[in-house]
Amino acid sequence: MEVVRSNLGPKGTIKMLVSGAGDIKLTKDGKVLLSEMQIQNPTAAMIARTATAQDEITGDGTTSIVMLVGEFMRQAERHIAEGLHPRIITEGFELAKKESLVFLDSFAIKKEIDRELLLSVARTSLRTKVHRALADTLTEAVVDAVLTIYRENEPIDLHMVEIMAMQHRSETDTRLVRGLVMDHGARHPDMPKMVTDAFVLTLNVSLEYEKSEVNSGFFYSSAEQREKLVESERKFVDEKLKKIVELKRLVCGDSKKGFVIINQKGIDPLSLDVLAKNGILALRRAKRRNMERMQLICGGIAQNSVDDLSPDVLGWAGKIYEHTLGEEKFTFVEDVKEPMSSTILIKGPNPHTIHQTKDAIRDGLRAVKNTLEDGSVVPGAGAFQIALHSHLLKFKDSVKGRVKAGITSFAEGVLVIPKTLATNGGFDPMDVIVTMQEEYEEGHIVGVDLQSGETLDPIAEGIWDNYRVIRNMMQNASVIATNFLLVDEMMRAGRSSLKADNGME
Amino acid sequence: MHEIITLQFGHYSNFVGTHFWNTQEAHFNYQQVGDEEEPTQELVNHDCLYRVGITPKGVDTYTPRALIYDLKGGFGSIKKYKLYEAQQAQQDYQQNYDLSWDPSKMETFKEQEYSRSAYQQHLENEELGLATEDGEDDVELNEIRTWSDYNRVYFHPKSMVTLSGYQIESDFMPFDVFSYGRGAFLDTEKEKETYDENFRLFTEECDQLQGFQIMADVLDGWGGYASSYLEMIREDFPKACVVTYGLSDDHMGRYATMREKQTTAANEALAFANLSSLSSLYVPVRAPTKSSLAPQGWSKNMRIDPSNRYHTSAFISAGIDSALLPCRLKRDPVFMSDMIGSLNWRNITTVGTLSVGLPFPYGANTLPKLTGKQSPLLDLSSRKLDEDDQVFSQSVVLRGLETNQFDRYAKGTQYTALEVVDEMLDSLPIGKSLGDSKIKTAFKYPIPTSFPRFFQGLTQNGYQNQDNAPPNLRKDGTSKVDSVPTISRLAVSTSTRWHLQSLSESIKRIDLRQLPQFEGDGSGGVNQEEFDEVKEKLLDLYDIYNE
Repeated sequence: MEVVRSNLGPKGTIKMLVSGAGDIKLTKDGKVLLSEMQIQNPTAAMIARTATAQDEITGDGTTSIVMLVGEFMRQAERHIAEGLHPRIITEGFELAKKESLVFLDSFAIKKEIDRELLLSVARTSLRTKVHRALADTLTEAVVDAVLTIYRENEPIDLHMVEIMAMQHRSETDTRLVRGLVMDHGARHPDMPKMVTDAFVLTLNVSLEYEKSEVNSGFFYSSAEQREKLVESERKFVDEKLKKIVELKRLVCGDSKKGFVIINQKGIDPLSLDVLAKNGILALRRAKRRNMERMQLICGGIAQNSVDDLSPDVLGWAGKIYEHTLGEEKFTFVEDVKEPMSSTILIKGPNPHTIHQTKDAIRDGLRAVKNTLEDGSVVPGAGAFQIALHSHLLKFKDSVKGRVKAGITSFAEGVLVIPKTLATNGGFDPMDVIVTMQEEYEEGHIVGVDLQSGETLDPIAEGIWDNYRVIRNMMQNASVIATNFLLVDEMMRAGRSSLKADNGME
Repeated sequence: MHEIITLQFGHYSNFVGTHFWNTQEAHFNYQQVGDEEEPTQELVNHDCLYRVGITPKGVDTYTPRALIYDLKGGFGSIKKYKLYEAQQAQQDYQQNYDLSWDPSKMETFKEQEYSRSAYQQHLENEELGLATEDGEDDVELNEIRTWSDYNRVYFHPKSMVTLSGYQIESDFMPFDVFSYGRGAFLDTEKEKETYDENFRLFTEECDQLQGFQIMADVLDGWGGYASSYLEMIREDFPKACVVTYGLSDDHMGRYATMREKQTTAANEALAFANLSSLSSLYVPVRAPTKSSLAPQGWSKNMRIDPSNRYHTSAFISAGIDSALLPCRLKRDPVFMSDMIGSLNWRNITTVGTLSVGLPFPYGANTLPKLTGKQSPLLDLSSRKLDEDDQVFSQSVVLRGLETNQFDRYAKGTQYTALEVVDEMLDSLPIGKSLGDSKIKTAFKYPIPTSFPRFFQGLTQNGYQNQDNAPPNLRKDGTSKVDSVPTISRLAVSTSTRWHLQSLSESIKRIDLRQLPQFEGDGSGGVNQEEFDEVKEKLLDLYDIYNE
């Protein structure tokens, strides 16, 4: 718990993890940290699993959820030590949780989702993961990447945004490519390195000689016989090539137009040779997902056989070129008409920077997607927690009986978020909280300003959290804390009944 | 190029794999003894197993076409990026980062540094010029704990993948159920996309892929992991030749309680059924044990410790290396698809057996008998051998001996040397097909310094020693050996039925509802229905082999 606490917020500390073998990993992401830690205790494992679930559903809020669970337990402990039954606390938790979710719905702001707002949301999320300069570079890339794949009223499939990494230059050179970047290139020296105004054929057809199954039990009595067989199988591949070349001739004629094949299956040297001779650039063993992305970017229809080749199935790209970096080759497909997918091209001087950037981008993409799908956002910088605390204390008065204690614990518990934000920023948490509460009582929505330690207006500053992140967080944290409290009680009961048994003997 | 890609799934597989790659490295420098005048010609096409690369700094590299999967902590002291990154002190990193991060805001968490074995330290000193290669033989090897302690090879950084979620040797969350492996595969792919990011790197560059060679631990979660991986491969490579070695030893699996025994048996059965239907040839391999070694008189030339993974994996690796050697020969290679095609000529016998003779006892007064109790061939796959057992087809590789070396045994008989050696090989049961292949090559099995020092009574060349005080005798009585002749046999034989029989027997009464960890709550679970199919499948296979 202590390890992740200092992660929270843009002013949290970055962690450098050095493995036993000396490999390095840098992170500020609660999820990454938890998955790297050696967890040897069931409670910790349970919390870690909750955090992972939170990450899977929303992509953010892992650090917060760990802290919330911890703080709920700590607050409850005080009451339990005073003799209150855990069941009563958990009942209070349940009431408080329900009320929080209702309150969240009223506190969240339904807004016209425009690019400005999305930029704010992405910035808020990214600044908690990477340093400021990088976060600001990534913000636009992330937002525009999601916007290219966004279709109104359709679920967003983030897989359609490709994330590609090149190990050179610095992380702030990371950029959005309105097109596709692939991590491989042509495998024939005579193929063009740069093609303009190109037809693109997306294939899932093997263009290599493969020994067919039928012959696996067949024994050649002579070398010639073997040759003959190979030859006849080769013909099969040549037929396919012929069809492709014919299509190329048909659409390109004598013009300068280019022709590019992106194939998910293999292409052997003989086939590459044929294609190269016909001026075709061909890539083999493309990623499965690139088949889909290619169609979104260039248009055209991916083909599983060469039987139905026609000009209609072809896509188009203005520029396709290769870039070599050490042993790695990259192929850029750019200048496309109306890309409905895009690539975020990460750069970085070493593997761990790239890793960290990639983790941040994934979270940033999720934040943007969540906003688009939620249709509403929650003011950040601890504003929600301050408001909720005050609301719950009022709510407590409307409830009768001892369950009040549970509600108080819950209310105090949520304050851990703004408190930690302040602590990580180097300010006195109590001072900050009191100032915030005072201002909130005056009717303002306030968050922590981590530059000055004063309060700020998150709405004006554009600090937004995702609605569903907060929602899941409240929900899961209270459920897990409840479970822990009850399990603890059962264990205690078990132990005392064992003692009683022993006493009987 | 005729590339072969190797995949290793699991800790014991990596023990075997490490010996395998160390041997490949030794192949590079292999000099044929005695022909100093003729320039040594390469006998093996190294490009099959190795790829040419270049680091971002422009340094050429030659690294294995291999993917190595292990749990967190399984990689020991190996540095993933060592080859592809200039060695930089940790301080350098920190300085770089201080430019962009507030220095006061960085916390460092260091795992306890993995102590390097004496052998690794020696190799490092060699790189720094502080030690010599000749000294390698004097380095203590007794403290080998894991495979990275004796690894000599630099791998491409993309070769090594750590599984998500499981720690090695963890009692808290052990990786000991087939279903966990399938679940871990989904999680790891979701997080790291190793199929696209790592596997594809190695396949995309292949011009004429021969096939895949897979080693997998089969008594724990790794069987599930390998099965899921192979399913994925099969979607893109439906016709590729895949040879899978299902490895097991006494340290794998748990047997303390009835439940644990059942879990282990179910793991093995699930792995057997899945891997054998996804592979072109599935070869179960059990590490040699005391009882399997004893009757064969192995002790004469070997001081192998059957409880030591470092020892047993070396033995298995010798068999795996030789089995597919014909596919990598420069002259007259037999390609994987042809070799496996003739082994599994019926197309339904996808389970094979591997037998190894290490060393092949050459140099005594008489030639060894390849059949019977004294045979130097140790069958690592069969649980039992019966007189009635028949061979469907086989591929025998006798290496390190040329026909003329059999002259001494031909002397005084009316046979030629060739006839003598053929007669010996022909004494093996003859396969029912025309596809039997018996290959003799002069290319001996090289012994790198990382190999366990368990040979005794051998000359430097690995032949039977007749000398009383040979120069290669170490203080502890073992022989210092550069290379040895070996014999290996990959076969499809009815002896597989005994394995199938015992496996079917051990899972017959298992009710999966009693072992809820198989069904699990998440992805990758095995339900009763699937388990029943596996039972069925094993019985079907039994019928095929029980002719």
